[in-house]
Amino acid sequence: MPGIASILSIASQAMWSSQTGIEVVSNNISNMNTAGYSKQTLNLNSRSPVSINGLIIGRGVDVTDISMAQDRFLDFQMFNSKMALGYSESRAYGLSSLEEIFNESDTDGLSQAMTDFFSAIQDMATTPEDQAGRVSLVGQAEILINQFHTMHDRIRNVQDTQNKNVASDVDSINLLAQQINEINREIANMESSGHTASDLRSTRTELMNELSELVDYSYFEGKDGQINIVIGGSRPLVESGNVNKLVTIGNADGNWDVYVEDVNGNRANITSKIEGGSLGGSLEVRDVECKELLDDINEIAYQMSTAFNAIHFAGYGLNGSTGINFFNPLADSTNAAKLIDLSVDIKNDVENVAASLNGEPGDNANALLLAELEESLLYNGGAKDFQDFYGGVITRIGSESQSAEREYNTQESVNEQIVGLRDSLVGVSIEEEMADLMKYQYVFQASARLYNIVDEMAEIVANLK
Amino acid sequence: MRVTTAQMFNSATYNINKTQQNYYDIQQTLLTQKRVNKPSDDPTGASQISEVKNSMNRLEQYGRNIDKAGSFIGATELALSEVIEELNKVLDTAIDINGGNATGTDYQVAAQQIESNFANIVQSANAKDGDRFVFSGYRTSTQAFDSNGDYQGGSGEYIEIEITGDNFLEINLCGDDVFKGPIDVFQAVSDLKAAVESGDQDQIKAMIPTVEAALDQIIAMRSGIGSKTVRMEAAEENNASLEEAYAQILSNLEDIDIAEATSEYAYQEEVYQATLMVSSKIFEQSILDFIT
Repeated sequence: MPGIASILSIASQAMWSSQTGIEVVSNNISNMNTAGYSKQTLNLNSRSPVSINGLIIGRGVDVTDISMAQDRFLDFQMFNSKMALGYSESRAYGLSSLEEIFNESDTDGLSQAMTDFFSAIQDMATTPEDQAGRVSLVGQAEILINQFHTMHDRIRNVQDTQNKNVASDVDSINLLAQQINEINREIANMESSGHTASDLRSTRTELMNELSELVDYSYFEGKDGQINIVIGGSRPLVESGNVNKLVTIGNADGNWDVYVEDVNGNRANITSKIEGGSLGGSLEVRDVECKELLDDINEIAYQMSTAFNAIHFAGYGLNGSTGINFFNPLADSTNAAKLIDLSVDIKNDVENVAASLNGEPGDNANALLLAELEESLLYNGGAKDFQDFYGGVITRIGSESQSAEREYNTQESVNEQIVGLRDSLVGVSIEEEMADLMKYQYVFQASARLYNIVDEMAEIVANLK
Repeated sequence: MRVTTAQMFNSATYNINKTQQNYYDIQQTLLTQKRVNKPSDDPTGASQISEVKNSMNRLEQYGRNIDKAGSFIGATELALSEVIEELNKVLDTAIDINGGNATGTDYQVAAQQIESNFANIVQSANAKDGDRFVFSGYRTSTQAFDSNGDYQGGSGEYIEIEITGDNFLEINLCGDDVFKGPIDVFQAVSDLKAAVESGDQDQIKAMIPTVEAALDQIIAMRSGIGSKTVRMEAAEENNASLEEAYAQILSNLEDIDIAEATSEYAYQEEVYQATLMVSSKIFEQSILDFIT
C-alpha cells in the first residue's frame, strides 16, 4: 500500500545511491595517477514500478553495479606493445654499449693499433740492423695485444651485464607471477557473488603490463575470472591457482639458461623460446650479437698471429736466431683475442725479431713479407684482408645498433599511442568526475529536501482533526 | 574522443622527452663537429672512415720510408761522387806523368799520390749511412772492402723499401757490382800505380784506358742512382696528391655541414621551446579554477 512511508523509502534509496556515486567519484579521483587504473562507473536502474489503482508508479532507484571501463583488445595491444618496447629497449641499450667498443672515430681502436703495428714493421724494415726500430715494434705489438685484450674484456663485460639482467628479470618475473596468481584467487573469490572486482582487475592488468615489459607470454581468462599465463611458447607460468617459477641454470658458456620449473620440480629449458620483453632483448644481445663480435675478434687475433708466426719462424733475428715465434702460438681461435701474447723469446730479446731472410743484419726481406700481411686475405676463409673484414664488423654492429635504436623509438611512439588510446577510454578525467560529483551532490540535496517534505506531510496528517 | 587528465599529462611529458632528445642530439653534433661519432651514426661511413684513416697512415708511413731511402741513396751518391773525383785525380796524375820528361822521383811522388787516391777510394767504398755500410748488400754492419779493395759484402743482395702502394725501391748498390765488375776499379788503379812506380811509360799508357773505363763504370752507377731519386720524387708527389684526396674524402665522411647543423639547431631549439610553452599552458587549465 503506497503511502508517505514509501516516499521516505524512495528518498533514502536516492540518498544512498548518490552517496555511493560520490564514493565512486572519490575513488576515481584518488586513483587518477594509479598505473593501470580503469575508471569506474556507478550503474543505476529504476526500480520495478508497482501498479496501484490502475496507475503504474515508479519506486525509485536501485544501484545495480559498479562497472569498470575496459577494452580487452586494447589491453592485449598494450601488452604486445610493451613486449616489443621492453625487447627493443634492452637491445638498443646493449648494442649501444657494444658499438662503443668498435668506435674508431677517436684514435684508439683496433684498426688504429693494427695500422701502428704494421707501420712499426715498415719502420724496422727501413733500418733492420737498429735496436730502436725493434724496440718500438715490440712496443706497438704490446699495444695491439692490449687492444685485443681490452676489446675482449669489454665485450665480455657487456655479455656479463646482459647475463645479470637475465637473472634479475627472472626474479622480477617470478615475483609478478606470484602476485598475479594471488590476485587471480581474490578475483575468483569476490566475483563468485556475480559482481565485477574492478579494482583488483585494474591492478592485475597493471601487473600483466609490467610482466609484458619483461617477457613475451600468451594468456587467456578462465570462467572463474582467473588469468592463465603461458610462457616460452607452451609452458604454463600461472595456471588456475597454481604458479610455476622460472629458474636460472648455468650453461656451457658460463651464462644463465632460463628454465620453467613446475610444482613437481620438473624443468624445461625455454631460453631459445623467449623472444620478447627485456629478457628476450638481453638474451639476444648476449647470445647472438656479443657472441658474433667475440668470434670476429678471436678470428682476427688467431689468423693474424698464426700467419705472422709462420713467416717470422722462417726468418732470422739480428743475433742469428731462427725458428722463433713472434706471438705465443694459439691452438685455435677459441678466446684468441684474450690469449694472444708475445712469445717469451721476443719479450726477452728484441734481437730475436726476424727481419732477415738470409741471416744478414741488413736484410729486410722477411720484414717486408711480414709487412705484406697487413693486406693479406687472412680472414673469412681467405676472402678478406683486415680492413675489409674489420670494416664489415664495424658496419654490422653500427647498423644493428642503428636499427635497434630506430625500433626502440618506433615502439616508444607506438606504445605512447596505445597508452594514450587506453587512457582516453579507461582513464580518469578530472572534469568528468567534477561534473559527476555535482550531479550526485544535487540528487543528494534534493533527496534530503524530500525528507523535509515527507516530514511536513506526516505532521499535517498527524494534526488532522 | 574523450580526453582524460592522465592522457594530457602523459602526452605532454612524452613530447617534451622527444623534442629534448632531438635538441640534445643536434647539440652533440655541433659540439663534436662530426657527423659520425659512433658506428650507428652511419654504419657504412664508419667503416669507410676507418679505411681512409688507415690509407692515410700508410701514406705517412711511405713518407717516412722515402726519407730513410733518401738518406741511404744520398750517402751512396755522395760516395760515388767522391770516387769519381779520386779517379779523375788518378787519371790526371797518370796523364801528366805519361806525357813529359819525368824523372825517378817524379814517378815515386806520382805513385804515392795514386796510392793515397786508392786509399780514399777504399774509404768512399766503405761509406756509411748512419751505422750502415751502403755497399755491403745485406751485410750492412761489415765493411764493404778491406784495405786491399777485396769485397766482403753480400752479392746480389738488394734492400727494398716500399715507397708507395706496392711499389718497392731497391735503395742499395752492391759493392761488387760497382767496384769489381766488369772492370775491377781497385785492380785498375793499383795496376796503374804499379806502372807509374816502375816508370814504364808504355805500361802507363796502356793502363790509362782501363782506368777511364772504370771511371765510366762509376759514372754510370751514379746516374743509375739519380734515376732512383727521380722515382722517389715521383712517389712522393703521388703520395701527396693521394693524401689530399683522402683528406677530402675523410672530411666529407665525418665533418658536419656547419650551416645545415646550425640551422637545424635553431629549429630544434624553437620546437623545444614551443613544446614547453604549450605544455605549461595545458597544465595550467583546470575546471577547479572555475567552480567554487
